[in-house]
Order: sequence, then structure tokens, then C-alpha cells
Amino acid sequence: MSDADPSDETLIARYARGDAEAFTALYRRHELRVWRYLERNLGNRACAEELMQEVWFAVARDAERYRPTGRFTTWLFTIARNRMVDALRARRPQVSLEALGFEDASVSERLTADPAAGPLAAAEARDEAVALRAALTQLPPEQRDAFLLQLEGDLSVEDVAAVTGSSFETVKSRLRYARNRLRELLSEYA
Amino acid sequence: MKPLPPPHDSPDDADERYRRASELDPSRPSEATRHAVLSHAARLAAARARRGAPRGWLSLAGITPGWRPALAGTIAAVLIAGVVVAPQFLAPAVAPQAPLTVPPTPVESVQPVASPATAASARRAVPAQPAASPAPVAPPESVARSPRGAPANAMTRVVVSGSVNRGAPKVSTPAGAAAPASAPAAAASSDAATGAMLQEHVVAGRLAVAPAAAVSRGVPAAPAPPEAPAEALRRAAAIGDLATLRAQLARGGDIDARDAAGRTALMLATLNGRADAVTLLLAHGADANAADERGTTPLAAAIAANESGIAATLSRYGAR
Repeated sequence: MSDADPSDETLIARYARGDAEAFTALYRRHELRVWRYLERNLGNRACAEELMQEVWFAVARDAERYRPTGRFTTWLFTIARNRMVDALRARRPQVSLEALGFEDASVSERLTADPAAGPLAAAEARDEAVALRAALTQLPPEQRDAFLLQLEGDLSVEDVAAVTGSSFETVKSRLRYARNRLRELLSEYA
Repeated sequence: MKPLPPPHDSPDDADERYRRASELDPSRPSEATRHAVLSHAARLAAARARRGAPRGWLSLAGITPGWRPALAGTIAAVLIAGVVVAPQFLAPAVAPQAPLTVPPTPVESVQPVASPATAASARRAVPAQPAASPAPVAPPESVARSPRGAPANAMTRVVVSGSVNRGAPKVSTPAGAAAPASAPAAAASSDAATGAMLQEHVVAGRLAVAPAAAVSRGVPAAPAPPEAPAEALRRAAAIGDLATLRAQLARGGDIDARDAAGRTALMLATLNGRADAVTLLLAHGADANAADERGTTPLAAAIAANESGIAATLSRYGAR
């Protein structure tokens, strides 16, 4: 965002007054971040698509209620996380959040173990993007959630704690463990 | 003593590797999702822009959108009545052949026509018809009871001298009785009755009466207007016709348009237990909290109707 670009807070305020272009700018600015947060947490593209709509619908609907006491991204990712948790609870009430199904939980294992995958797939398995997805799926959900909130939402430790309803120290610990584990996993996949 | 591992609290190479790898990840939301989000936001923005626009005279007068169709109907009725009745005052070219002895009655005596009791007392005040008139004087009920009792050609005959219409609105031929050509006074009295009825309709704001009466008198009826998109949307939602509902949604009209009772398509789908329609409407951005004019929200309606599935769906979309 250049200096000339309006801030997120300015855009959401303009949208609340009926400026549709402001919303478009806001959406394009944060689309990929929210998408990555949802898809990498859920490990399911279809669910992520559905939640993506719900999150942005909620942003559009509640724009008038937004108060610039905090950063827009904190508000946005709070909505995204709440929607994600609600949807998971509503759809899989018998499954704990710990055991949520991650379709890609063994991406790297599948790609490397499948004899039919061939050399191209093996090459893709070494691709850094694939390795990253695989590594993320290896993280415990709370650590992954905290890490993605900080990296994709660009949130501080305090903000992550506020969004997740956890203490500062807990979030700090989760982030530390997440980074250590990711470092190890990415080194392995590399 | 074993040293503690480095804390790695601050952004480090793990973050850098994450960001670099993220750039290589081609995963994106679909174009359909992007379109749905942006079109929904644009609709809401348009609604907000309308709400934020300077208030028109209707709003200043306290006339809410729910009352505007009734207001438009009343205005249309007044215009129709004006077109039919005005020539009486503007074109007195066709004067009755026989002198009319019915004296003009002040306009004030016409006003209470809507009240049968007042009309009856006014009738008593009207001087008796001249003895030459063969038309029997109708019982008072023939005017006040129903406009359908008017003569078949009353709509065309109403264009007569204003003094007749204004002077004898309470005297009428019996229902269905055609006035003989030799009895202009009778014709005038039936015309007067029609005029009175028209005025009654105008006062009551009943627009639908005039076209219905015209049809019954053999006037070619205009073809029924096509169903409005908002009405079609609400009807499809109410009956759970998903194909029509999708088609209406694709047209991009106001998804939260309300009927006369302030009910949106979502509310109608909820009231009728159309769970699929509810989900479809919410997915297209219907306002989950659009209450009807009595303040009942869709969630309250779903709970009252014991539609727990619909209530859960509504809650998921932010219904309160």
C-alpha cells in the first residue's frame, strides 16, 4: 500500500456510506490473506470458498458497525476466525477442534509414497509451496491458527491473543513452537 | 545444566520461508466467490446510498415505503376519477333535452355518501322527482350497498351536466334498470349514482374497483401486468421453487424487497419452512435480520414455527 492509498479504516468507512468501490479495493487488498488463512486452517477448498463468502458478507453487512478503535485487519480476522470456528462446530459437532479433518494432512506423505505419482509429482513434492502446505498441516491447530493469524493477518501477539481469546503468554508460546516446528519441517522437505 | 533453546519469539527465517513459499502457492478463491462477494457488497452499498440520500417529500411526510403502493393507488384513483368526472364541468355541450327540476345540492351534501346513514338522511332532504319522470325512485340501499348495482352503461353516461350529478347523487334507478330514452331524468339519476359511487371510491382510495367495474360493463380489459420481479422472488421463496428463485436472483433485483406486510423473501421462505430457499437466499446475501412491519425477525419466526434447522442456518448468517 503506497502512501497515496487510503487506509483500510478509511475504505471501510467509505463503504459504510455507500461507496461500493471502496469495498472492492478493500476486498482486493485482503482477499488473498483471508483466503490463505481459511484454506490453510481448514485444508479444504470447498469449505474455504463457502466461508470466504460468509466472512466478506459479514464485513459488508456490519461495515456500519465497525468502529476504528482497532485495526481493520484485527476486526476482519476476528470475523474470519469466528466464522470458521462456528462453521466447524455446526457441521461437525461430533468432532473436536483438535481432530478436525485436514484433507491435506499428509500431502507430502501421499506425494512421496504414491508409486504412481512419478518423477513430476516427486518434483512437485519438493516444491517449496507444497512443502509449506504439508508443514502447516503437521502443526497442532492452535499453533497453526496463531501462526496464520500473525503472518496472514499481520497481527501482533497482543492482537492474536485478543482474537483467539487466549492469554498473551499462551499465544507467545504457541507462536514459538509453531516457528520451531515449521523450521524443522521445511528443512526436512527441502 | 542443559541450556534452554533459543526462544525464536520474533520474526525470523521461518517467517521468511513462509512468505516466500506463499508467493509460490497458486491457490486462490474462485471467480464465482469473488463475484458473489462483490455483487453482494455493491447491493448493500446501493441500499446504503439510497438511505443516506437527501430525504424526499414522501419521507418527510412520514410516508414509509410500505405505504407508497397504497398512496400510488389512491393517486391513480383520483386521476381516473378526474378524467371521467371532469368533462362534466368542462364540456356542458350535451345538455339534457328535458329540463331537470332537480335543484343543485351543495357539495357538502355529497361528501357523506360513504356513510349509509348520512346518505339516507341526505336523500330525505332531496326534493321529490318531477311527476313526469317514470323512473321509480330506488330504495336508498341501491346506491349505498354496492357499485355493481350501477347500470351497465353508467360509465359512459356519467358525462352529463354537472348540476345533475352534483344535485342528485342520492337518487338512482334500481340496480340493472336501463333508463329509457324518454326519461332523461332517470338517466340523469343513474348517472348521478355512478358519479357518487366513483366519488366514494376515490374517497376510499379503492383503485381496483374502477377497472373491475369497467370489465363488468364490457369495456375491453387491459392484459394483466406481468408479475413484478420482487413479487416473483417472494412467491418462489414462499413455495420453495428453487429454479424460479435462482432465476430471479440471477436477475439481480432487490433480494430484500418487501411485501405490503414488510416481509422479505427470506421471511416468507422461513414462515413456510422452505429450508433450501432460506439457505439459497442467505448465500446470495439476503438480510438475515430483516424484520417485518411488526418487528418479527426471520429467526424469531423460525423459532416460533419450530423450524430448528432454519433457525440454525439463520444464526450462522448472523441472524439475531
